[in-house]
Amino acid sequence: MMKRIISKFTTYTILIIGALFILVPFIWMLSTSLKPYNEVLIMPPKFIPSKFMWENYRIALEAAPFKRYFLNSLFVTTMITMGEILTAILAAFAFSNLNFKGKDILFTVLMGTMMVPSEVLTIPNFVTLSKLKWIDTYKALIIPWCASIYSIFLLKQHFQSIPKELYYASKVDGCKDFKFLWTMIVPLSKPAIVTLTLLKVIGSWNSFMWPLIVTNSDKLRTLPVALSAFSNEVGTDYNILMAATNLIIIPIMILYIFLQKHIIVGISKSGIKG
Amino acid sequence: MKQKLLALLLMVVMIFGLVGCNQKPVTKEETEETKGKELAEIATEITEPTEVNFWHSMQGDNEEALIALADKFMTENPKIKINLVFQGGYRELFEKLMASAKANQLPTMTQIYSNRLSWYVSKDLVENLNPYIENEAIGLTDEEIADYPALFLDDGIWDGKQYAMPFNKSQMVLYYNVDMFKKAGLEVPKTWEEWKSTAAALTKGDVIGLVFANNLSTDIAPWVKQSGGATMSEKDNVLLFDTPEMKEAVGFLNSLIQDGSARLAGEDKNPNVPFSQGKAAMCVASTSAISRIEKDAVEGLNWFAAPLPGNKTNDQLYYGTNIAVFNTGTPEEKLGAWLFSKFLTSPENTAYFAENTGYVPVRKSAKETEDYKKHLEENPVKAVALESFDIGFQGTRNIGGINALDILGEELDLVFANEKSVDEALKDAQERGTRALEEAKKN
Repeated sequence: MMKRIISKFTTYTILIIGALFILVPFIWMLSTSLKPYNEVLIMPPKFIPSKFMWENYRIALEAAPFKRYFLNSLFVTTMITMGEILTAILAAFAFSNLNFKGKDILFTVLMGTMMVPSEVLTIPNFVTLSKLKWIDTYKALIIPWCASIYSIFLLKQHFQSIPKELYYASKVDGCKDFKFLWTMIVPLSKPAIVTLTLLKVIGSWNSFMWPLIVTNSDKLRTLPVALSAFSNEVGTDYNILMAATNLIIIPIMILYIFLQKHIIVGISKSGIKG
Repeated sequence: MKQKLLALLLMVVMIFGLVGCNQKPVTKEETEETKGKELAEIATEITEPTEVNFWHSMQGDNEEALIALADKFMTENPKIKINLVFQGGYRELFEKLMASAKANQLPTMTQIYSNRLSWYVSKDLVENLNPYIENEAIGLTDEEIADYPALFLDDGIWDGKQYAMPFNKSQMVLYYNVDMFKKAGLEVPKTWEEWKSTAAALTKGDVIGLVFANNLSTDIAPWVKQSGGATMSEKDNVLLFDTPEMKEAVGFLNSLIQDGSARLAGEDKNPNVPFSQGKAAMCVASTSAISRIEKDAVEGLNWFAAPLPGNKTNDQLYYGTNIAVFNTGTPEEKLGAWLFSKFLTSPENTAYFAENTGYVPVRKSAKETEDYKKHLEENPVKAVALESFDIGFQGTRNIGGINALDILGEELDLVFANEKSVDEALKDAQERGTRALEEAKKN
């Protein structure tokens, strides 16, 4: 009995400490977003502002065309996520279940591209897109991100863990590959797909450098670009920046609440964390 | 086995292919066409509606001031449309410019540091502004030219050609807490020795005497220059990191840090942050931080600024970007861009920009304009940066110089953290920096 209490106590203590590590920065962000400017950096730090500055949110909203940026972020993120998940499912199925010449070489080469740091690719990608006359269009924001080797690799590993017997049995019953993929593999891999979706959504929602580089007009820019307006070489308006950040993360939070159940299953099954 | 080898080979080819793409230099053949354009006569009149794309990094108040000026320009010149395009911070702006240069997609004009512009000049991508300046109808008179502080114009000259006009300039100054000085009965230091003793005397309790910026790479220049040296030679394209002058400068800064009377900004990010909070008696920062200090200052903070204390000389560092016009536009676009550059640097407009931002006007006569005079009366600290033009200088512009200076910055951090001796760090910085400079040449 005593042993159980001690073990429970230890578990909870560790969990509480872990939760605090994750929650404190978040609470700090919320509290900073409501502080008057001169309280942001004072020592000792103050968690509760002396005066709640709801005004910070208004200033943040007025600093950039948030509505337009929000719609762009939403559209671009949705398209990228759908595109990537679709290509990843198809490619992963081909690599895991089909046999074709050069499969292993092709896969190794694709994996090789993961070793190239993305910074190196910025300029060649920009040149390619400008030759296609895609700069400053939605195409430049979306299409280059519609395939990801990482997602293909992850899904391939997951698809391989599904017993081959299912595949052979469906073949015997005359099921075509495409039907098997959509009716068997995809439903069975839901947790992995949900995890990938969420990772992709977070990635494209927060993406800053690429949208900035391939667009010139305000009407195509996305939310993270708005955040750059609050800091310059001599300092940062942390309170306004945090207010804007809070506004930007709301959609991700909502999505997380809805998908929470699947994500936890996905993480425990695939061993991938965000 | 064979298959694996083949895969490996393919991968290597692909990776090098990608890296190769990145480093593909703009060759002479590619610029031949644009070179031809440069030799052609310049346009001196705009008859058709013309659009000028101006890429910049100005945010907040700075951007508002720029927008107001562009609007004024467009009212005065209804045929020219200025598209101001915010491209993020300087880092993002320069990365995008580089990508655009390689894709032949440069804007009509841009805000840019001279140490970045040197690459574009070397690739023949920048419009020589001399024909515009010298033109009677659209140019500048000798009097007007003499009205620009020489150091600002020089920053945009390569081989005798004016490739850039000054835009947002500021000076590196010493901010000091007036009350702390009064209380200790101290004068504002004028020499390094006075500075050192003042910093030590003002370090008490949780107040430190002096705070420097975190990365002393490009910012090391004034102390080296004041010791009679330079960070690098632009003419011979060699680094001068391992020299007695550099050693003297680094040794001085390090002695302040090691005896505890100075520190780097560290977690505060900018030196003006602890200063505004009353936790530092002095800090070294740009005059563009003035409005930030005003905003950040704790109640009752009584502060002012002064030029940096001198050593063998009193040289003062000015920094900031210029505006350059690329030669890839049509003659009308380039003319529009020149007219806008000229407009931005006219005494009343540069005064307006300086008044609404933390920057220095780029014309001497700006301080004679009614509005700016009044502004200086209300903000006397802004006059400090107007007084050192004659002893001012700007940073070096070697291609790849920033990369080399970044390496110097890394080595200096090791010195300040007491992990390396000054001699060793400077020797390593010289070696590693030279490699970076060589590397940049290939780009």
